[in-house]
Amino acid sequence: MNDQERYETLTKIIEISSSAARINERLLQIGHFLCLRGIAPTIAFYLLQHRGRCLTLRLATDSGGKLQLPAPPCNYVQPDHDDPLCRPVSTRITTSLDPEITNPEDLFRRERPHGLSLPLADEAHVYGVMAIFCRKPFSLDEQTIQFLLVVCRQIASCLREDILKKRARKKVSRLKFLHRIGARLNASEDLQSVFSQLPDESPVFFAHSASVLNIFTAENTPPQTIDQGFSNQPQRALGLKISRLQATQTKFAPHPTVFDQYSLPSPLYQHFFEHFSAHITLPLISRGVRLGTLEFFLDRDPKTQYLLPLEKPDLELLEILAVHMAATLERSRTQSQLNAANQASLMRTRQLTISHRMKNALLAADSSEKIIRLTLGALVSDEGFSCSPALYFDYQEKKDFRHALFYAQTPQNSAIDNPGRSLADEATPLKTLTEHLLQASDETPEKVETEMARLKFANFENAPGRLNRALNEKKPAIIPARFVTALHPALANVIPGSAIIVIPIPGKEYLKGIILANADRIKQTDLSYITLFTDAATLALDNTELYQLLQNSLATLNSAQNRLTQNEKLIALGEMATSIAHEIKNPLLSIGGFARRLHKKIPDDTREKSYSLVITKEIERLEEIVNNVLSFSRPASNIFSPHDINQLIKESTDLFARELKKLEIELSLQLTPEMPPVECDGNQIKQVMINLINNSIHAITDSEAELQAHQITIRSTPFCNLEQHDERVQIEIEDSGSGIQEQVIHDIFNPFFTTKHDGTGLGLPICHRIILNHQGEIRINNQVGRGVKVTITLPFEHKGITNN
Amino acid sequence: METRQYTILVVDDEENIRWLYREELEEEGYIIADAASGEAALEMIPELKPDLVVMDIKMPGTSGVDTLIKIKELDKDIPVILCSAYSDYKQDFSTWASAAYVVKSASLDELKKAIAEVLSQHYE
Repeated sequence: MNDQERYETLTKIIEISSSAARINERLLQIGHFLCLRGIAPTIAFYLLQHRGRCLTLRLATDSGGKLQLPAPPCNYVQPDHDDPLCRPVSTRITTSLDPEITNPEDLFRRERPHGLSLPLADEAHVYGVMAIFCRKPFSLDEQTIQFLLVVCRQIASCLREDILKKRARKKVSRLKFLHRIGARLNASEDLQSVFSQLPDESPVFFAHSASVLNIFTAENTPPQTIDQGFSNQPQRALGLKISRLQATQTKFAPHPTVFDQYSLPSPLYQHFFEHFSAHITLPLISRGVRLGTLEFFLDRDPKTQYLLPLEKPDLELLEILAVHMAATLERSRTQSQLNAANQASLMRTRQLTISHRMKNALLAADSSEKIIRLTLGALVSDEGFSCSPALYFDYQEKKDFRHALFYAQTPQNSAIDNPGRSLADEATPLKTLTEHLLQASDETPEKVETEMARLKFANFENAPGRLNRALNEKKPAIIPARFVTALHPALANVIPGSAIIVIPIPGKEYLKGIILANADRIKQTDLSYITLFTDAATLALDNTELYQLLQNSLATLNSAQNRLTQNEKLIALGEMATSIAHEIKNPLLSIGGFARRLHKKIPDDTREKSYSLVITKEIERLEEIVNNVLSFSRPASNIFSPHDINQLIKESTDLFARELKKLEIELSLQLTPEMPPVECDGNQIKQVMINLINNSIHAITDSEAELQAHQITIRSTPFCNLEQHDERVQIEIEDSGSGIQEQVIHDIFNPFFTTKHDGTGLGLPICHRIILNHQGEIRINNQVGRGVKVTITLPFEHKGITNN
Repeated sequence: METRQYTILVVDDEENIRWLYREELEEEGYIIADAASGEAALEMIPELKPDLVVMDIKMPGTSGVDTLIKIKELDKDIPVILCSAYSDYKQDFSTWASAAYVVKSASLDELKKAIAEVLSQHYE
């Protein structure tokens, strides 16, 4: 080759190298051109790849055109720089090849065992090697080699330009990527969704890699992990295993770490290279705290098994990405903390509102029923605790007796439809469970009743496990539903759900009641507030009870006061009556006595005889009245001794035997035999009986209902008075008379009140007084048209002295 | 058959009552003396030595019950019938010393019956 030719060749090469074609195309054209010029039979270009650590056969050309062009890229790993191909040379080097090597490049080189390599380098960098191969030994003259070195220099500058261009393009694309991801990270609170968008933003890189995002939530808990891009299950399993092991290590590198085949082997990475070519771990660190990790697993290239290109700027890019993601994570974490705080404060506001409303409502409530309605209402409503449905077992302070079962569920027209609805809304009545079941199911009332009876006596004393504990500790608890259904299977239908809150309402001695409610929608943290709330309800219940007690005592006091006033009135009246009666009595005796004498002296069958008879009879009546007044007002001194009450009744009725027979009144005695003796004044009790029987006879004879059977029934029965805690005998006298008119029933115990045309109005007041002196009670129940029932109770044992 | 005539002392603060008793009881064949007060009766008894005393309880001055006690101190064998407007005195312990207790009435039948019973118990 002469100078002219070399000049032309060089000009042509410069022309080719500065064309707009792709770099491979240009190299191919240059190689081909050199072959055609007869400089070498075969020319191959090896270019440095992968962070400059290995030479790769990029392409080769042949003057015969037989060579497949470009040759498939092969990775020729060169751990040290002894390989002649890598060494920048200026002289001829003949390669000696290892016959063992079996890769395609080796085949290529075996076919062309003789070669010479020339460095593609400029002052700064080595870009690769241009190798000249031949099947037989050959040699090139110095001039040609110098020429080729010039060509190489030209190619190097061409490569340099290309690399710079590529780098610039990459830089731009990285910046674009960062920009887009940054925009997404800023716009989104959710790191995980951004993570899943990563492959869309950088298709080239992510097409050949799988990625894993670990987010640490709290200490000692496994991180939240999401992954994408694994091509098969074993690969994914291995990737996640490595990721988890990395994530749980307490010691962590603050910078991205790359594991690839150049790294030292670690037991962690057993079988790693069967699936991957590299593993990059990027810690997501914010203010020195590792919030998570972002990891990439790079695939082996399925065709070539060559490492994918991963350059320092790529790592830097990932590092920046990690910083961005950490910031987003931190931000979303702060945001969620803020949200939680906000939620808590909302919750607190809601609870305070309920608490306030409840307090007002509870203060206003004056019956236990109202309080239970309020409590259940707050429990089941969506504004409250959303524990719907709820069931209340009412104990009424008695251990075994379940008074009632109340049921409540979230109202149909919830707060959303009707924001004005108050928890204290009294329009929603408290339903019993029976009512609910009758409304909600098709069961017959009998079946519902039976079910209710069984539920009412569900054995809470032997309640299983945690239910029992809650009841014993008298504290609300959320327990699995199975403990409640173990108590009674029917409860599963009444209160569905997997968790049930049990709220014992403590009383003084036993439980006042138990609330069972669905707890699927509440958390353990709500429990303390529910406790606070139910404590308030319990307190209100206590208050109501006290209030009731107060009301009762007030009523007792009032009635006692009334009785006292009545007594005083009676005493004053009695005193007056006594003095009048006494003053009347003596003149009356004289009048009566002498009238009788006159009557005796007057001959029979005269008009005067009949006049005197009228006088004596009328005086007899006057006398009776006066006697009654005196016996009513005179302080009685009672002689208490044990008496057979039945005997006293018989003695009293015996006096009326003839009269009853005459009036055709049937007397029925239903006396309980062998009762203990009653400590009483026999004569007085007899007087009471006589008075009452007398009244009954009058009532029957006055009765207009002639058709009714004339009957008087007297019963005696022992009974236990629970209020007074003593044993008493009860005497009932029933007649079939006309009864007492309603408007006068309140007056019957008042002295001088009478409905009989010839009565004194002292009969019942005397009876009343006698019975009171015996510490007994007398009641008159009127059933107009069905007669009167007088009920007397007397204690068997007389306690102490009574006053008047 | 000749029956013994008994002397009865009637003690009552009401003059008309005393008169009534005298009229009625004399008809029955008794000898009647009367006194207007307990004190007067106590003065008369030692001299009169009545077979029976019929006495009102409620009187001004010494009451019938107190007089009864004093009569018993003088001569415990004289039977005394107490009369009263009140039936309640029947149960008073202080009246137990009397031979009988009669509730005053315009009809003297009960009193006469009581007198006959007491006299026959004491003197036959």
